[in-house]
Amino acid sequence: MKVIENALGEVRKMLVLSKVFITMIDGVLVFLVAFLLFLLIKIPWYLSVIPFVIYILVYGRKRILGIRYTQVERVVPELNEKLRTAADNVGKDNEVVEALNKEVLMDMKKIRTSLFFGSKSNMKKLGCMGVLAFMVILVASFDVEIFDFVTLGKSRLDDENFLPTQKNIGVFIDEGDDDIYGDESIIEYGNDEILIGLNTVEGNRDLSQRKELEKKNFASSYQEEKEIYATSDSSFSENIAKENQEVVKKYFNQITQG
Amino acid sequence: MKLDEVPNYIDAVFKGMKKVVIGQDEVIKQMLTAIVVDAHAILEGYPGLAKTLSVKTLARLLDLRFSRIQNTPDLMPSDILGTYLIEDTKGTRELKFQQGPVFANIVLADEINRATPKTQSALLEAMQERQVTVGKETYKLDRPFFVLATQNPIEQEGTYPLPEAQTDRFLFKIKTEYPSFDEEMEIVEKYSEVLEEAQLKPVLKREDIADLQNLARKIPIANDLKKFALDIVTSTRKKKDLIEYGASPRASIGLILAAKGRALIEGRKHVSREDIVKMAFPVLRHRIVLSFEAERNNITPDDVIKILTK
Repeated sequence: MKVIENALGEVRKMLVLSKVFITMIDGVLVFLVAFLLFLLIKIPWYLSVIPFVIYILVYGRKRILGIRYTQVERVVPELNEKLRTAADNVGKDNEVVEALNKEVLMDMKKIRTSLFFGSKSNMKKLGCMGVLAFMVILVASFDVEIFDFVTLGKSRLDDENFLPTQKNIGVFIDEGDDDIYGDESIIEYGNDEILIGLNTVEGNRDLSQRKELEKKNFASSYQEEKEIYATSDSSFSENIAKENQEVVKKYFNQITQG
Repeated sequence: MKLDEVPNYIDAVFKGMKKVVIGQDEVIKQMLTAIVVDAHAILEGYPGLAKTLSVKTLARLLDLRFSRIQNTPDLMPSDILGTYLIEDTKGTRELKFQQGPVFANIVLADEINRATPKTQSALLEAMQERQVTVGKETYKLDRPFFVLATQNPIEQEGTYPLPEAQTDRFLFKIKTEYPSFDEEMEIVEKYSEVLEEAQLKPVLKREDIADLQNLARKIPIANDLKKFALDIVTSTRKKKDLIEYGASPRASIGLILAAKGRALIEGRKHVSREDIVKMAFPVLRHRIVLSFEAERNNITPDDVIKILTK
């Protein structure tokens, strides 16, 4: 009786291993598909571990709990109905059960590990894995993308929350105002960093089509300062020497004449 | 008898049966199963389908006491059970019990539906209790004790069909079918040319039968197959559109036991699904009462069982 118990334990162990193996193969397939998809939509690749882990936990548990001796009987027809009968009657001790156990032990020799691990479907799955891995390499090398999910999300956030305002850049530039030179506030930039964002999705600007600068004549109402002098920033608290003042004055005069 | 020897004995019985009965393999198998599981069986079929011949031949192959009761409407219970006779010994008269034909190991109750209900119930009581009570005395019947009854389904006049409760005493209702053309040709050749009866020797002794009965009960069955058998029986109580009255738990016990018996006869050490499906027909066909709707549509109990075993 002990022998049949051990043998049944071995069969069960092999079934568990085969289920783990199949779940791992399927899990890797899920991982590769997620990896490829995430590459195409520019989501960080390491997030594809999440569907892999979920698959392993859900289906691995389901498969291991669903282990039945009929799965062995299906691949070894000689054991059909015998194996589960022997398993269900392990505690019984009579000559018929003993004879059945002997018969089952003999037929168990026909169980080959390859019957469970080397099935056609597993081979197909391994093939699929190869194809997916190749596609991942191709997509990564040519930087193929369907759309940039992250940037899209970010730009949407920028549109909604981070529009440049008078508060954070010091000056609010209204797109509708053509003549900005008449606005005094242009000289009051303040010390804040100007955040300029180009909305690639909603805008129609194409950075690749840059043109040469055009010279434009502006009719300006701006009144030049009569006297030009240089001052340092208040934080430096130093006076600029007179000779340096001259240099600055000369420089400005030259560039305004040109 | 050892387990390894069972196929040889069963094979010898089959060979003996085949010397006399042509075809009817399933009938022979089911009769033998009834013997192996220590149960009674009723054979139903049209006249001339070797019902009586099969039982008689089987009885010759078993080294047991055989008796035959030819049932008629005027048959009395005492004709079956026995009666007290006044015996005159050495000048003194005393009542002595004269055993009836029921005191045998194999009783062939031929055309059981011709006997009156009173006589039928006397026999059926003996079948159930395996004892006979006459007057104040109770007599135990010898073991093994099998009743193999036959009945004709087409003759209705002068017959008293067994009520469902009484047919329940029989584990199997075995149906004899018409032979195939080739089998009939063989039958014609055999019985139109040879006059002598086939020479048969008893194959199974009383102890062998007891051993077979012990072994049959030891045949293991897988839990899912046990559940399958119970599902078949319990579904007879749920299928209200086809069945008015379903089978009782006695049918569940009978089906499992019958499947074990069949497995032993087939030389297997475990019950298979096929055993259950095959034995569901003789075990259930007399235990279900079809609904009016099913009868109106000419559906037979076997059709219903076929649906239930799918």
